[in-house]
Amino acid sequence: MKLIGGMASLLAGATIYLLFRSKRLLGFELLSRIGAEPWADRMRSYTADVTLPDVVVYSLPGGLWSLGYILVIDSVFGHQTRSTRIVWASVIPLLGVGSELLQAFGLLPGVFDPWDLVFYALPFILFVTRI
Amino acid sequence: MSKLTNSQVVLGAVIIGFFIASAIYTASVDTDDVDPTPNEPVHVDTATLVHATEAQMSQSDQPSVSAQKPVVKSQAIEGDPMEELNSLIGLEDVKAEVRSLANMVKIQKEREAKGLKNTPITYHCVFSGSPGTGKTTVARILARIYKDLGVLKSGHLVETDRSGLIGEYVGQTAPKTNAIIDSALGGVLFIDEAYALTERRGQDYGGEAIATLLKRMEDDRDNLVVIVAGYKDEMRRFVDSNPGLRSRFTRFIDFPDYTGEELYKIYLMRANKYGYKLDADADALLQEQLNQAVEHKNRYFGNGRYVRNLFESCVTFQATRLSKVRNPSVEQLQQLTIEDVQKAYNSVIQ
Repeated sequence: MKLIGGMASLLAGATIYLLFRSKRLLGFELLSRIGAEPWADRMRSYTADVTLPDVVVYSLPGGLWSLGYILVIDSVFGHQTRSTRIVWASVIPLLGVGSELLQAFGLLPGVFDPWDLVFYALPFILFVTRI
Repeated sequence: MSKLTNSQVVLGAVIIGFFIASAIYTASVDTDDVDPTPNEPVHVDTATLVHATEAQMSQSDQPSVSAQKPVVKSQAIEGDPMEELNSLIGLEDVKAEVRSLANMVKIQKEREAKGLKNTPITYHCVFSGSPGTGKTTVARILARIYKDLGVLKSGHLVETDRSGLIGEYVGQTAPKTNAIIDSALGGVLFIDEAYALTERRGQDYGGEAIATLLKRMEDDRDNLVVIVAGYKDEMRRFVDSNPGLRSRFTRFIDFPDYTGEELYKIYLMRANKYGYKLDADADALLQEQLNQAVEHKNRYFGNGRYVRNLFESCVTFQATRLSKVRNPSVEQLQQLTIEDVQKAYNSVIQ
């Protein structure tokens, strides 16, 4: 169940990227290489009319990615001790939060957005408080 | 609770690796995807204004989607656009359709001025028909009509095709399309052979161009009219291929091929404009050949463009013939003979 939930979360985040983000993303080069770009273009054209809030387009995918990871990793380590589960579940959210903080201090290219920080951290906080 | 096994650790590492890889692939190539702005210079030529009938006669014979044109920006036509429309040879149904559209817009504007409610009206059009049937010319006239009726501010026409909208590499298409749309604001964006945007060709960004176009049609709906043009069946398929296109392009204007007689009139108009005359034999042969050309045409037949090529070829053969004559008279310099027409016809059909 956790695995399915994790994959669904990842898929939802990927869908936002696919439909609403710029094609300058590296993932589109991958799609192009595997010949799936025309299909992606068609999907994007169907949602050309749809305008989502920036927080959904730019920050939510990070949160879904973080949540997806926690669910998938916990499907493997769910039977371990609480501390073990927390350590494993913290890897990706910490990487996300860390990268945002590095961006905030100009140590990593990119635009710092506090919403990104919230979305990366929120699934992990919920996870820690609920197990 | 169970003991942590090596396989669990490996699996955990693989999952972490997968998520890190997915993060890398969602990173921007140039870390600038938040606000994509046009960053590629687009070549925009300002074409000299041409008289409508002249434009009708002066289209080059470009048969297929492989023909690529630069982005051409024409200023709004001068004079009365309705007169220009009426002066076009043939195209009676097209003229009627444009007049009816103009009347509709006019009445809507009057209703609006008197505070009455209006039904939504679509200014965007699909011009379907073979090459050289006057689609661009009518688009210029319509742009000016829209300007006169207050639909558009400037009424100029920006003409492009797939090559003007699609980039070569990832990330180039949207800025390129946006730049061309920017240049068309206040006027009409005319996309020739627009169906080529949905044809898959290797690294294809047609979908991105369409998505960008649809978005801008929405964002700039009070400041932009788009006319897409191309062969009839292909344009139907093009519009049907995408719900966004289908909902915006509901007005189809079909441009029929010219008849032999209409092509003959176009030829005479051009000859007259440049001070040439046909002798009786040449005139008869020309009519016969144009009828024959129409009878045996294929879908790539150039219509008005064919006539232009034929005329230019006639002029070339006349010059070759006269180069052997010492001090040709004015009459000779004006005259196109049966020999010129026959040679021109042979060269054009080759």
